[in-house]
Order: sequence, then C-alpha cells, then structure tokens
Amino acid sequence: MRVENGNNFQLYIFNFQTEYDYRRLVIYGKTQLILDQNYESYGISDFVSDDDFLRHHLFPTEASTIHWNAWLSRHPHKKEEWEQASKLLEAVRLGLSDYARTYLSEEAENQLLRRILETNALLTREAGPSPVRQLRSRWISYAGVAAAVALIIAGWAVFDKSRPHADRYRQLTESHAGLLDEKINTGSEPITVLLPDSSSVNLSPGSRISFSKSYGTAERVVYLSGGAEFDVTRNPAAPFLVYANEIVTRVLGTRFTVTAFESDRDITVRVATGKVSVYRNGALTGTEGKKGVQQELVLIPNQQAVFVKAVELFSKSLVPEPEVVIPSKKTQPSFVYNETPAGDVFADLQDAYGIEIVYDAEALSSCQLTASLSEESFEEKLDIICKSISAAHQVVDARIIITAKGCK
Amino acid sequence: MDGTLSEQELWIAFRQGEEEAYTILYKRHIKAMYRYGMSLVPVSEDFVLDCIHDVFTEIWFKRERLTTPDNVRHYLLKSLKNRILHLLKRKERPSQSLSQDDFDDLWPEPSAEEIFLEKESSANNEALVRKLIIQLPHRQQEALRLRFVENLDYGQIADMLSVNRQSAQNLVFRAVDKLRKWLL
Repeated sequence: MRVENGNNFQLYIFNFQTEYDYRRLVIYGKTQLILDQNYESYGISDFVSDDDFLRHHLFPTEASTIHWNAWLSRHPHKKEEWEQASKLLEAVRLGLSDYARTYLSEEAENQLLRRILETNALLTREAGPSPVRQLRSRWISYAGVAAAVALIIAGWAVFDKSRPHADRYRQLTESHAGLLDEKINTGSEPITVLLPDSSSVNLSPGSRISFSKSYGTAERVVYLSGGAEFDVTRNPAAPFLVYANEIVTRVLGTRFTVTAFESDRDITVRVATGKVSVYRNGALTGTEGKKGVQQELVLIPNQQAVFVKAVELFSKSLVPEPEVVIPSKKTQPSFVYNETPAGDVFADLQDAYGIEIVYDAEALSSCQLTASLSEESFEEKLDIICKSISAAHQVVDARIIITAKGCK
Repeated sequence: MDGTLSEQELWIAFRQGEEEAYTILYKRHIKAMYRYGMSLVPVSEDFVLDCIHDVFTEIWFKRERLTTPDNVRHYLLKSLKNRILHLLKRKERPSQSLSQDDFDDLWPEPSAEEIFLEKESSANNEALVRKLIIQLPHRQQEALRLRFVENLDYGQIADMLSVNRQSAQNLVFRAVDKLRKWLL
C-alpha cells in the first residue's frame, strides 16, 4: 500500500499490522517523546538503523512529525541525507515485501488451529490428572510426539464410534417426552417445512428435523440433524429453540441458518436478521450444572458462531459474505461519497451491515473519500476505502479493526 | 472475547486456561510465525506447520509455569526458532569455532559488475532490492526481516540471533549500509 506523507517522500506500509501494532500506534501517539539526541554524526545508514527514525516512518504521529520537522529545520544540511535515508528505508521494506506477503490461507490457518486444539484436548484426555508431566516426557523427540499423537487420534476414532451417544439427534429426540413429527429431506434440493406457527424451515438435503406435536404452546422446540435455514415468526411469549447436536440456539423471531451434520467437525449458526443466542446443550456435553463452563454467545446479523465439537468450544466470527441488514426505519445509504470524512463512511458501513468497525477517529480525522461503492460487496468496499486512505483492516472477533496512519 | 484486550491481558487469561484467549493469540501471531518459519526452512511447509503446532501445544501445557513476556510476538518467534533448531540440530551450526561475525565476512559479496547486471535485468525496484537482499549473509537477512517487518527492537533481535545487542545493531547496520552502496 502506498502512503503519502507530508514531507513529499513516500513509503510502503505492509498489511502485516496486527491489532498489537495498532495499539502501539496509539500508545506512541500519546506518550512517545523523542529525545533530541545527536544525529549530527549520522549518515544515511545510521538513520535507517535508528529506532526513532524507523518508528516515525512506520507509525508516524503528530509528535514525531513535529519533532523531525523541527530537527530538520535546525539542521538543514542533514536534510538530503535524511530524505535519502527515507528512500532507502522504503526500498529495503519494498525488497522485504515478498517476505511480508508470505501468508497461509485463512482455511489453512483455521485447520492448523483446529489441529492444535484437538491435540491439546486429546493429550489432556490421554494424560489424565497430570498432563504436564506426561507431555514433558513426550516432548523429548519429535518423532515420539508425532507417533503418540497419531496413536491417540487412531484410538479416538475407535472410541468415538463406539460411544453410545454418537447419534446426537436420535439421543435428543428419544429423550423428548411426547410425540414428535419428523421431516426428512432425502432429495438433492432443499425443501420447505412449515411449522404449526407458520415459521418456515428450509431444510438442506440429507437433513432431518423433528418437532413436538404440542409445538408452540409454551416453547417452540425443534431438533435438527444437518443444515437448515429458519425464518421464525416473532412470538416473545414462546421462545424458539433449535437443538442441534451439542448446541442449542435460542431466538425470539429472526432469520438464521444452522449447519449441524453429525459427520462434520463443527456446527455453524449464521444470523441473517434479528438476534439469537447460542449455547451448549449441557446434558450432552457433560457440562450441565457445572459453574463457569456454560458459554453463551449472542449473535447479531452477519455474525456466526462455530462450535468445534472436538474441544466443545465456540468462536464468534463474521459470516463469509456479509449482507446489508439495515433496520426497516432507516433508508439504505447510497455508498456514494464526495470528499466525505472517512469516519462517516465507516459509520455508514457499520450501520448498513451491523458490523462493528473499530478505528482511531483522531488518526482518520484528516482522511476524506471520494468514491462510488454501491455495487461492491462488503469486503470490496472495505478494501477500496482502506486503500484510498492508506489504512489496513483485519477481522478480530467478528469486528473490523482499522489501522490508519492518517492523511495529510 | 473482547478484541481490544492487550497482549499482556490475553496472555494472562491464556495462562489461566482461557482457550479463547489462546485462540486469539494464535490468530494474531500465526501470520508472522508462518512467514518467519518459512524464511528459516523454506523447503518444507509441513515441517514449519508442525513446529508451530508444537509451540502452541507446548505453551498450552506449560501455561501455569510461564511468565508473561514483554513482547508476545518476540516470545513466539523465539520459541518457534528454538523448536525448528531443536529438530534440525544435527545439521545446524557446523562451525562453532568461527564467531558469527567472522562467518558473515566470509560470505562472497557480489561484484560491482554483478550488481550492475542485476540492475539492468530487474523489471522493477522491488525485484532488484529483493535480489540484492538475498545476496546478503543469511543472518543479515534475518536481522532485516525481524527489524523492518516484525518490528522487533535490537534487544529482541539480539536474543533471536543469540548475539549481544551491539552485534544485532551491527548486523542491521551492515546490511543496510551494503544495500545503500548498491542502490544509492
């Protein structure tokens, strides 16, 4: 990303900034004081190797800009070297950009995370009361660890199959007192199932859903195995509960999707409109009544909860393709901007998609945007805005963090 | 869990057994760990992923005995490097008798002619600098990456490279100075 700075030099900022860097940026902006040390003897390479020089170029603040401008006006004969140093720094970072751009795909990242969490869970289970000691002996050789893990995974698979409650759905429906209606989609296209209260369910192929004959009197309970999109009629008096494998999704009236195939590693709940809460089914995960282990996630539109079965852990994230979810009272913004302050643009996005966007208003106060973004997806909008104001963005826990240096 | 928690707060939560904090730490640092690991062992992605896996698994089981590092990025990169070197031990460090600085000086420098040819043949500035950087001794390359991309300070770079602070500073300076001579 190309960034223009007040002194007519240019430098490259890579997308490597983490939230951690963002925090540092803020801290520097408030507290970093640069000592006027003796740069008199500095050559070009000394500047490039200098902490304050580097920090100013990576995370310029008002204080650092004032400092260097003042220093340069007091030492005009050093100006050329200083500017050459800026160019050299830019070149070095440019030369390192293939390194900075070495990325794992998000899928590979998540896959590795799952593997790590599974190993942790399996080793804990395997090691019993003193996992640490067991692990240390295993840590001796890499081959040893790999072999041990492979063994446990093999053992786990056998163990898992032999567990009496492998079929969560059957377990759930059998435990239900009273008669159930069941719909099974054996076809290749989704089918629509209408519930007694006229809530509708779009049932995916290979999925089944059950609901009580007495559905709708006090609670509206359905049991799901597989995938389904729900459009729930609003009725605050009768909460709508979806039991799907190990988790329960509770709603008052909304549109959302649950994907819970018995054979999948994860269960996903995605929200299109309204608000739902998702929690573990304590009776199935063995956490019933235990204090502090009940984890409940509240989801708003464009958020999803993913439940990793192996570790019985939820994580909240953004759905892959967020959609505009403007409340009916407001009109949708045009997304056409003409020298609009960047803060207003982000506020539009935040309102329209219901996704929290975190940014440093001070840093963005100098940034304006002229663009027409009505056709672009959420991701594309975000990309274009960030490129044009020299900012970076990343998703942390279902919100967008904007890292900006400001514009001048 | 809140995305605004500081690294230290996250670390403390993780040490108390919070898997969410652990997951967030993973997500914040996986990119840097991956690219740094791949820069050390470019031939095997699987090996690097295994090492990252081992680092995270190990800190999970040692969490109660860990202290809170000043810079989590530095701690994780250092742990990854240790893990990689540990597994490659037999091949690493062939000559303990030479000090590392001596070793760097034995590295053949490209001639002025070679530099000129590189400049002529490179399509753009980025490609040229990249080619020049890979002409540098490996440790200088590593120091440049830690300094200018991972944003570690000289004390942390020294720790990563098992040298003192002054040597770390010298490594960066020498690399920068060479690039200056070639480029400016």
